[in-house]
Amino acid sequence: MSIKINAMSELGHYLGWKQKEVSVENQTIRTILIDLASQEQFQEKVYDPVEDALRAGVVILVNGRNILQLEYLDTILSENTDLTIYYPLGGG
Amino acid sequence: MSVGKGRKILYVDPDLCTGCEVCESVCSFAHDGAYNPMNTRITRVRIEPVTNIAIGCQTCSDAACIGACPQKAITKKEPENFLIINENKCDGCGFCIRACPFGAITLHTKTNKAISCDLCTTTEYKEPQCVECCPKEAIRVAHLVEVSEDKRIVAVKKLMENLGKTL
Amino acid sequence: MKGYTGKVARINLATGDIKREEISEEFCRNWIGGYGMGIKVVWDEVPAGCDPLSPDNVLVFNIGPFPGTILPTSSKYGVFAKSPLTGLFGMAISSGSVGAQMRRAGWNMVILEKKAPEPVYIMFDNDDIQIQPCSETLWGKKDSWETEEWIRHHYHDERIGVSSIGKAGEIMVRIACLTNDRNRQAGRTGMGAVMGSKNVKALAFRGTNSVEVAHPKEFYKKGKELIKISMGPVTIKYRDLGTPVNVLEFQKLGILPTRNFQSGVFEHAFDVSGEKMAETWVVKKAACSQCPIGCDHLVYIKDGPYKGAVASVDYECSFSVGSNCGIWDMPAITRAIELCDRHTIDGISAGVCVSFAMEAFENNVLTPEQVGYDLKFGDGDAMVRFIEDICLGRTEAGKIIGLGSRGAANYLGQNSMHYAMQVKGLEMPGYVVRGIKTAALGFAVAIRGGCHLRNGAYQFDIKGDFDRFTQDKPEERVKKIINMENDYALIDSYIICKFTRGIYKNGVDEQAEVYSMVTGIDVTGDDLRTRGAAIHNLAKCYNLREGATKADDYLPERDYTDPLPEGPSEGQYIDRDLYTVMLDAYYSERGWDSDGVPTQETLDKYGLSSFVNLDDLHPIEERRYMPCL
Repeated sequence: MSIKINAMSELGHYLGWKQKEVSVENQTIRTILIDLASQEQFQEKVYDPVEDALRAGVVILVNGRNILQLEYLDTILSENTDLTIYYPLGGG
Repeated sequence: MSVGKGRKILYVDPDLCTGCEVCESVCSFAHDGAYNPMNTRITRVRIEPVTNIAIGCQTCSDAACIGACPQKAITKKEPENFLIINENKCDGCGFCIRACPFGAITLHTKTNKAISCDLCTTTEYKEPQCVECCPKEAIRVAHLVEVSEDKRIVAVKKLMENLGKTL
Repeated sequence: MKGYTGKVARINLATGDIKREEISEEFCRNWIGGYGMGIKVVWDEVPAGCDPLSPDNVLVFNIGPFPGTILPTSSKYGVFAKSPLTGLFGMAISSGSVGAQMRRAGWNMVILEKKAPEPVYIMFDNDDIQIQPCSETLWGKKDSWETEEWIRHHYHDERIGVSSIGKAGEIMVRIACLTNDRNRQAGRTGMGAVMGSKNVKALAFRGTNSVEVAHPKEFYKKGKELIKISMGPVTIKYRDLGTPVNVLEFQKLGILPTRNFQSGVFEHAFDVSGEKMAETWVVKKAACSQCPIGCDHLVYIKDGPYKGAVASVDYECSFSVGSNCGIWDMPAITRAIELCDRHTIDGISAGVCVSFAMEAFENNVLTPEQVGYDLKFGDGDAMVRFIEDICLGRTEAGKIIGLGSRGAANYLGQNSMHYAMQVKGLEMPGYVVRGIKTAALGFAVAIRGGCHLRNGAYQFDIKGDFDRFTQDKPEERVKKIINMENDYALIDSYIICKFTRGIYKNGVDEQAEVYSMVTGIDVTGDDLRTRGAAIHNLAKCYNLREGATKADDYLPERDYTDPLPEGPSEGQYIDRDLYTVMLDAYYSERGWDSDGVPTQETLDKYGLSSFVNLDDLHPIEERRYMPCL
């Protein structure tokens, strides 16, 4: 099954990609992040696979829901999940 | 950062400049210990709706201000070419201000003497403060040949791209 | 004192009498500047229950101790009075050049009393104050951009800071604001209408004095450090795509207000997004005086029917006259923002009033006869035309909607109050709070009305500190809201820009150090935090004195009754009972009773008892002000 991964706004600039579509089989967020962390910038800005930790200020949404309100990195992804990673901060 | 000897200017990139006036503030503080855009040697100019730039002494080779000064108070610092204004001779007549085509000279509000960019050499700071502090890194000290070289490279790159000749 | 000039110009506009007064160090220490000084003066001097458009209202302009220095975003000024939109505390803050120029001219505060017998502008040329008649030159003739240009040309000084009103202020449209430096507004709560009611077109400041601080070397070093930090990741959002980056982010969350907050997703979100703007529309970025960020994203329309339109486009307008009106035509949006800025009406209120009008039109509550044409969601040209009708008061509908959405709904009846998206009379900003439950409370208790800037509570929802879909953990949520509210009260008193809130690693403690470096006044972070809470409490007292009740701390009806129909926040609404539980927790944590009235103990704690009586907070007569034609 496939899911879309969005890197929004400044993060997208930094990573050099705004959207990826990936094929997954019953995976958790963690496994996706480990995969993506093979890109150096991703490791630097988003996820440290060694510490198994998200970088400060990163928010991950699954279909608009913050993973903190789901199963965090253990959240299992399903078909057509919209996964969004970004740095939010309010503004007017 | 510009190295080497020779004539130098403060080059401000109008695409990067946002008109924030930090350069004015740090310039006046570095020289006087107080913040005042009336006593600054680099001045921001904003022309609505979208133009912003900061401008100071252009270190003209044949500087109109030097000839205009009745007291002969202005000389050049070699080799950089910025102005040395002799405060003992300057009587604040303002002829240099009238002569300068760039509006780069002003009269200090307290001393009433002419002031102009000296690349912060009369301050305690090694680097010109506007260069150090500009939040957009839009200001640098440059030799004119460096400025033209940078522009040539940009222009040629664009031209080659348009002609389909880049790899 | 350094930092503060301590000088106040008190102008009786009826007599032309100008009194020069001083404020003491104690006053500065207690009220700090901006919001703090503003609320104290308004409490003391505006008669309880007065009509905000009568000569009895007092209009206060002030600054804090920082303008003119290199503290990032230091050039800010505030405008305070009783609001003719909400009938409660009116406050609006702006940046650009005016704060710095006011400081260099030597003024800490300007208090405008009564009403001038004919239209005037007031020029502060350093120490010299000139009240100049302007009915031949400016009033009724020039908009705010033209006024600024005219004054600068007239005095031959491009650096003069001018804060002015356009036609909407002159004719006292309730959502009128002040504009300075073209792209900066003292926007909310109708302060432009108060200025118009006093026959004042503009305040202009020309300052040539040097600004000194108490500890110059220390402060210079600190200032440079803060500038460097401001160039880093904490501000990248504002420097890069700017606030319009919120469009797609909110779309992802399902909280992007669409068609008068009927939905939280907009099918054309990309067309009004920060990303699209950067690709296609933005021509330059500019900054306010002393701001290292430069969040002004200038859009200039090169061709088409809106050729020549130019405006600084921020998220709050991308939503208000964009998605919120169902519009994605960027040229029309740009033109609408330009009109708001020139004729001076608040961009947020304008868009939310227009969307209210569109829904009213859809429901036949506002008729084609009153409007003069069709006013439908999605019609950019109609939206632009209607914005101008509001600004210039040139149609019946323009005049009605110019009362603000609460006043207009009150006038039109037919249950239109249900979709007047306002709190206390102030239109809601660009967040569908049904999808962010902490912000739902935060925006509704905000002291000047529906506002995201008084406590920034949305950050707790968006970061995931709390579940944005549930209304659990009321005590924890309100504690966070209150902390933020007190800190923001300080930010609005210093006054600095909230976009730099992230540069102070040690928060208020670090701000206290900077404050001491500049003013020479020794304060700790705790001193300041206490003052932040005191300032907030006094503002609450003012609202109560002017007739605000617990009902004013509730959200628009729609948020309780209309679950979101689609998108990532589908089904979300605010449960009123759970909301009340959270509101009660907020009151309790604030030291207020169950009606939201500060207790005697709380008044004592914050040193307010010497001038606030509990009786003041329980007005007997019916005092709650409603804008009417």
